[in-house]
Amino acid sequence: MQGAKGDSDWNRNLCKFLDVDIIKANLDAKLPGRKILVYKSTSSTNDVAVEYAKAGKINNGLAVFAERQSSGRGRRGNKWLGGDGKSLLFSVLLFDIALALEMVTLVSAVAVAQAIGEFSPVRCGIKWPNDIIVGTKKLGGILLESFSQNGKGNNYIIGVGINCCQSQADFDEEIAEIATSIKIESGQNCDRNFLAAKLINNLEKWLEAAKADPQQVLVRWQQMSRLLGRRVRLECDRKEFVGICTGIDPVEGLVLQLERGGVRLFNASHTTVIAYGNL
Amino acid sequence: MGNDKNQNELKKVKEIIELMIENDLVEVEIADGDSKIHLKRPGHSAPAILPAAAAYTPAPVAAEPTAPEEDPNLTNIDSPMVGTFYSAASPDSPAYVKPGDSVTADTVVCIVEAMKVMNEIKAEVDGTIEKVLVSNGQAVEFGQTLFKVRPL
Repeated sequence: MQGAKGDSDWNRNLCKFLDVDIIKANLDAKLPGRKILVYKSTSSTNDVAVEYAKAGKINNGLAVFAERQSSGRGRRGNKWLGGDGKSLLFSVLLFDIALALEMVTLVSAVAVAQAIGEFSPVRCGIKWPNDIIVGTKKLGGILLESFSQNGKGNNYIIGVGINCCQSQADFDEEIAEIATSIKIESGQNCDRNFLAAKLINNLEKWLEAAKADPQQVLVRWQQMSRLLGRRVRLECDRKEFVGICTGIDPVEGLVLQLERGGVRLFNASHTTVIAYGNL
Repeated sequence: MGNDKNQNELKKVKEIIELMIENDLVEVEIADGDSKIHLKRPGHSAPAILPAAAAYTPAPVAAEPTAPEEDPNLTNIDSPMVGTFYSAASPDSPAYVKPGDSVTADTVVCIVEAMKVMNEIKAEVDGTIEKVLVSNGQAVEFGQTLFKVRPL
């Protein structure tokens, strides 16, 4: 646990529910969040965004929030838990972003991790490729979907899930081992409306930064990445490998100094990090 | 001049007739100074003189769209709240359900938006949609029946 920021108002005016008006009032972003929908419950906010994407650019910038998700997805279809009003779950629909999928993944991770750090006393990092972590526990995740429309690619749905107001008791024993929340880390509840606005503002900021100079996103991402120099266990093509992470490239993958000898690059699309740190 | 006056009278009569039809009135008498207009519509064997108040009671109504005798086997899906009814996930998506569609208790059948929150409404019953009673974008009341379902 860390001390609360003295000068911060991050948990002031605590609002229990997501509120379109409060989110909007705190938005500086021009495109993301241009339209906001809040669902009491839905299968997954990404699914709703997919529906709205059908109408095309008229829904550019739409942000869909849900208090609860019944079948939120993580990477590779892993189920993402969407707890009753305690998580911040949303998806942003963006058309014609002149950035590659990998870059948008980095941008999203950096924007989210940084927003949480600016909003609350919680210092989080990025676990390659798209988990938001505190220590070795997962605080949130990002699921990016890209689609083409009218023959044009570079359209994205950025899905974000962050554990906000869960206490230890809200997690099953099994989950508690691997998950945490802003409340658990800071000892205080947080108002998801303010965090939502901050996240969306940050997302736009980092998207612009990536267009202007991709290098600054890479640098920031590397700083926030938590695997470098750690002992990592991962699975690649259904085989397990253990080694020290000696290099990390958000696009190319992870370089491990394998314990059984040799150095190997593990491609991002075929690799899952199973554990890291104290194995 | 006299012609003008007649034209005006005619116009007035026409307006009154329209009003009568609109409000389903059988007989009207309007006295205005010297002139007096008394109109009676044919086809109704209504009492010659209706007390003014009675004119407003929606006439012993044959007009009421006689609810085709309610099928007691049908179940309602009612709106759990006051709000706006949406039949589809987005304005450009097909409706969640249409008559003839099979639903399970967990099938989302519509959205009711209340206080800027989208609420997905589930069928809560296994069966077949018989009727959709509201249209997209319509304001709905608490407890208002949205769908008729024939349960399995």
